[in-house]
Amino acid sequence: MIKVLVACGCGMGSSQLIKQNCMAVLKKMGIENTVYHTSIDEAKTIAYDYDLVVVGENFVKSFKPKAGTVVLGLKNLMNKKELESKLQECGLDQQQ
Amino acid sequence: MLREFVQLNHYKFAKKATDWRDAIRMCCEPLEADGSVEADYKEQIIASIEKFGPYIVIMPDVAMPHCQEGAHGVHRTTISFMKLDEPVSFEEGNPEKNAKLFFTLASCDSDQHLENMMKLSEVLMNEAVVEKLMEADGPEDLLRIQETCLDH
Repeated sequence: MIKVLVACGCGMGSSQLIKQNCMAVLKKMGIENTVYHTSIDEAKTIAYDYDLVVVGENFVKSFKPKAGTVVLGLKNLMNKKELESKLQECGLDQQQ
Repeated sequence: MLREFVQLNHYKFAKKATDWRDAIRMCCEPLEADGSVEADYKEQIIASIEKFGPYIVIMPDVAMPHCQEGAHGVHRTTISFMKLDEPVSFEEGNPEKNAKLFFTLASCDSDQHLENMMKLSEVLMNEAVVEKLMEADGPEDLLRIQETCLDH
């Protein structure tokens, strides 16, 4: 089970779209997951508690993750292929 | 979802906007016209983009302007559509942050909003629909795209 945090500026628009796509892609990859969506401001304070943070690419620099937390930035939030290949790159599919 | 835009008069078709701030003001017009949001909602969206950057451009040529849930002056949970013939730039020198299609969100009810977002995501995931929306010229095109691509 991996804990995923998704975030956007306000926590109501793009983060909800990323959440839907994350859940679909992780399910397809056979990775059990729980996904929480919120605003960037809150996300910055709780990211340490998550395995994976997924945000739009311009928010990546807002995070200074500790070891163990992977931060992924997406160019196209609606592209499941981009999300899947970035998840594979960071080896999350190996961490079961 | 596209049919709802037509039924609610939540759509606007325009040639161009002078800049992204102008585009944000334009895309909020249908929401202001029926009282879904008050006049300062657009300024709150602009302030949020100034703070966080052009993250509302969620995929090439598509923007999803919005502010917080339960933002001041939001009276309905709904979405409005706008199409510009000429793309507007949200980040100078970065054409990946241009937008022609606008889906403006307003939310004061999280359950309804979630339902709206599921429907919007169905629209945005459908490449054929997005492609056709880029060429749409009026409400009759929205209805036609709904019927041919989205109604099951």
